[in-house]
Amino acid sequence: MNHKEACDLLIDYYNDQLEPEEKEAFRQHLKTCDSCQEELAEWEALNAELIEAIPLVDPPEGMKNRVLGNVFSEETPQSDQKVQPMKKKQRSFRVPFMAVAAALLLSVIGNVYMLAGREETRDLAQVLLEEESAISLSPASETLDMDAKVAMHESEEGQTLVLEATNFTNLNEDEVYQVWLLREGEPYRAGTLVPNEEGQGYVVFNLDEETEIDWDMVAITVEPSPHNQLPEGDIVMSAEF
Amino acid sequence: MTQTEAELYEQIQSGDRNALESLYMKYEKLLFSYAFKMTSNREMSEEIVQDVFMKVWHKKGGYDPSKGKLSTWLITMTRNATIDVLRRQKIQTYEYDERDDVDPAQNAQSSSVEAAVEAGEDKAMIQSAMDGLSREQQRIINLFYFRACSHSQIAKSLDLPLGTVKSRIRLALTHLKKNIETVKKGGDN
Ligand SMILES: [Zn+2]
Repeated sequence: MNHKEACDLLIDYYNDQLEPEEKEAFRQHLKTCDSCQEELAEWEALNAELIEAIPLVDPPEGMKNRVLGNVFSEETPQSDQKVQPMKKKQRSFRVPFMAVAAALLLSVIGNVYMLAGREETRDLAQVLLEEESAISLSPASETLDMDAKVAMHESEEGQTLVLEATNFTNLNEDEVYQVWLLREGEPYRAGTLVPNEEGQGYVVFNLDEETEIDWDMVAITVEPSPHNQLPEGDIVMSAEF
Repeated sequence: MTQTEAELYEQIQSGDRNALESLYMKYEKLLFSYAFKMTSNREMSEEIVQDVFMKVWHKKGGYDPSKGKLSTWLITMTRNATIDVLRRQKIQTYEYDERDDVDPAQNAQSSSVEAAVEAGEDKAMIQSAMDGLSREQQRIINLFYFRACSHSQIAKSLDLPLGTVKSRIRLALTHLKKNIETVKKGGDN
């Protein structure tokens, strides 16, 4: 692609209409093309001015609490780290990774290109995007209409489980959803799922760095306590790897 | 103003929840309104705003003060999140409708009974600058900015060769900018 042809992709880049590879290629072009950089900055600035003219709409009741609540609750998975599911030392979350992963999951898979540019993100994105590696869990009973998707991210630092859940409601007081990885029938606790009011939730769980395990199965159970080291409650969803 | 937005952003980066809340309070309505303008859907708009603040809070270092205003950055993030949500909802299957013919402000106004319009001076200025554009230029800005159409969609809906779309956009934007400047100076375009 010559230079001018590359510049012609600016509109589709700005309106996010490029395929992932095209987008990455354009990003490279953008780094070296002053006129595209300038034009893009101009578009963004003018757009911000135009926004001043749009009709203002009152946000829904309680939106601030919901949004900030969800944003701040992103950090709660860190408390999982206090629990030691196995004897080996457990890694703490690397915050940037978790943050990116959380944002990514929250906005579901289509969003990853925007965050590309960080190796970790791109790795994670690929894991999630590859259809064969993202697995949908099946409900344990026909009457459950919840959805969950899981992907295992592998890097030099170890394995990370990323799980996205929707429609997870109907918990009783004190009950929690727990995610488990199973290897030859032996469960490994892989995080607590805390859905929001809409029943959406996700787990980003870093496994011990020494573990490089071929898991057989992933399952979500309803547990009477968030600290159970072994599953006691009923499996609501599961999938085999 | 005792605190610049760059300072506020720095506090957010250091994990200051109050700082994020301040930023949220300041931009909630604007960003929600913007998302609503593009989606006409309140639930989606809330999700979009949440998406943006999730990134502000977690994706540290994303904003570079030397590259522009914080508000512009937030608006761009909102825009990207909106395009993403629209695509996911698969309602971006573009079809021409007469919404493309009207100017952006009237467009959102008529598309929602819930829209509470607040007249402001800036708004009147921008509006007046938009009014000064030809019908085709208003359309191109609407398609390009508020419908986030692809290059080829814009070409098709304006019946232009692909190769001329960019220069038409440029022309419309230059014209719009000139009008805004004129109006801001108090002149009448
Ligand atoms: Zn270029």
